[in-house]
Amino acid sequence: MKQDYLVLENLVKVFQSGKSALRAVDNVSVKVKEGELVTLLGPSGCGKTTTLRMIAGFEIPTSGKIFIEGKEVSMIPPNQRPTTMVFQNYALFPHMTVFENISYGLRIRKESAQNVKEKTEKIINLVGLEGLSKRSPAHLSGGQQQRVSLARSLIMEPKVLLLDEPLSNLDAKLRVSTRLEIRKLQQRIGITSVYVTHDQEEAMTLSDRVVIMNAGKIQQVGTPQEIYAYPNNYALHNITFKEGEKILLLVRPEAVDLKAKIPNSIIGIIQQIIYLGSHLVYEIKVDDNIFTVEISNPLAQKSFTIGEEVSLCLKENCLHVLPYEDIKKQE
Amino acid sequence: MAILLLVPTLIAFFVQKYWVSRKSYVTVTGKPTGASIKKLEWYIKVPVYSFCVFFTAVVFLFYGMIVYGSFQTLWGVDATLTLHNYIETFQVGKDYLIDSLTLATIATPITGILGMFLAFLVIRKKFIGKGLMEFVSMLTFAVPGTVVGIGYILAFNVKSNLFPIVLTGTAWIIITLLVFRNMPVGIRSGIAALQQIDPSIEEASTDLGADSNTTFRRITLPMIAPAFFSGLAYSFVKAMTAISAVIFVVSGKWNLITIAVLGFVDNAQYAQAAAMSLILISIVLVALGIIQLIVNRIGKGTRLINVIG
Repeated sequence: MKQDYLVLENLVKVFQSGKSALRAVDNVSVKVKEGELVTLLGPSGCGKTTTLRMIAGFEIPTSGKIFIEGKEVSMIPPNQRPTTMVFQNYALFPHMTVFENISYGLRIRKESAQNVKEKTEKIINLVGLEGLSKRSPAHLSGGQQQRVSLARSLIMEPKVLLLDEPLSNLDAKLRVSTRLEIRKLQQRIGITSVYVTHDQEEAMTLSDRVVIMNAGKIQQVGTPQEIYAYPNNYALHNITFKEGEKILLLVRPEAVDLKAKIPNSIIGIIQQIIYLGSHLVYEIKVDDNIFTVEISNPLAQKSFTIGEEVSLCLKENCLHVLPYEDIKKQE
Repeated sequence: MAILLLVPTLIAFFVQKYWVSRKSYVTVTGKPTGASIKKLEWYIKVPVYSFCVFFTAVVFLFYGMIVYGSFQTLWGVDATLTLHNYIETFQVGKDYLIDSLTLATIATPITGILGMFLAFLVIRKKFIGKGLMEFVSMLTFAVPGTVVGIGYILAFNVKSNLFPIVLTGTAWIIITLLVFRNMPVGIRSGIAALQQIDPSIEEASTDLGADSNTTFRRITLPMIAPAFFSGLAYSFVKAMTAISAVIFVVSGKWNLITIAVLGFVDNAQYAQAAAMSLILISIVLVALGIIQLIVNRIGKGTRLINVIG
């Protein structure tokens, strides 16, 4: 497995409109291994889509370089780059059938009719669109359209597959099953992929690594586990804080135990109880703040009622220290 | 006078350009969804419907009178039905008819293709002077026809450094005039069609290895084909029925059917004028039918035609 399969080196993109300039992507460097799926995660306008479009070649970087397999591609036009993209709204060709949509790239490449037929049929089976090849995109469900879009990109056997929020147009249930399918397919083919999303859960379940972006800059890079367990954990990095500096203590909802009221602890009043089957969510008022606490396996635990006073006890290694200003910026 | 007439149209143009066109309308996103038609309440339906019926009746009255009048011996005096008018019209007007058809047939495809091309440049490409190009291309439409006609006569009457050939009196001055006079509608319908198509559909084509020529030919063109053909239909109809601008540029060698109709009216030969008009109307209807047929053939299997056509 090659380590630096796709490399983004100090990418900067400035959009000029009139006299004002927007630094949409600000000094972004990422290294993606062969076969890895890396997610760019962040709110809208954080520069993740612009970064993806630069990898695809639709935007030319203001400065910085892009390498694929060690070869610089920054200035190569999109039709000659070894990348293909799954668009947010699928961007299927409305005047072509499913078969014609999927085989479009091969036909542009002028592969033999026999080749086109074989490859297209193979990929149609792979993504589970059997029997739909003569349909027009207008007569497909959202999930099917999404698969056509995926198949159309995969058939080109790109070196890097780019996915721009491919699930955002699907309903919640389909989104969960489709993201699993995408992940399985990606691992089976072993294709190097860059995935853009603003959905944290999606990023966590799909990715080998997550790149968190905000205001054009990279905030944190890590595996989903690292990102979740140590959100920019300054304490872990031995960063010291000055006296008088505001800090934020972060505790995950599932890292708290509830106990009957004991002295010298954080005490709160239960405001709301939400039963979710596998776990129970309490909303607890502590002074003027509402805290959310998640209790898993609720049947085995002591249960509380609304209005009851309880103690919030922290589990081991669950406290994260963050500078206050950092959080303010992210919001 | 011409300048005075120009002012309000220019204002309207700028209002349209800087106010309306700031918004972007993308309705063909590559993620097609079904549209539904709302059921209307009767108190909206009845007045609107009666207005439409009334309007249709008035239009039918116009055309009915032309049909009826063209068969009368002497319109308004002797209502005996006869075919004589058609024989006479055809003898006198055969050359006009052929000229009109020839010129319109040459001008129409040039208008359509040029219009689509300009629309594509304006919507999808970025270059210096784009706004100016869009503005200038719309200008002949904003100016009254007679003004355009006189302008063409003055511009192409003598040899100049700018244009070393005299066009006046040739077929080319009529064709050029028809093309540039009718192109704005082609451009506008092309712009409307392109604005409705999500640019990412074209990007997808590029992404899959097609260069911009191939993308235009295999993706953009088929998607805007309905708009292209309705543009064609429009420019053909306008070319056949044009009168205000072309009246200045016709000559003995090249004359037009509309001018012939005007000539008949001048000679108080109303029945012959009506007969000539009827022939003109039939030609236009046949041409529209053919274009509609082509649109249906191309539009098969896509929903685009419902959106634009």
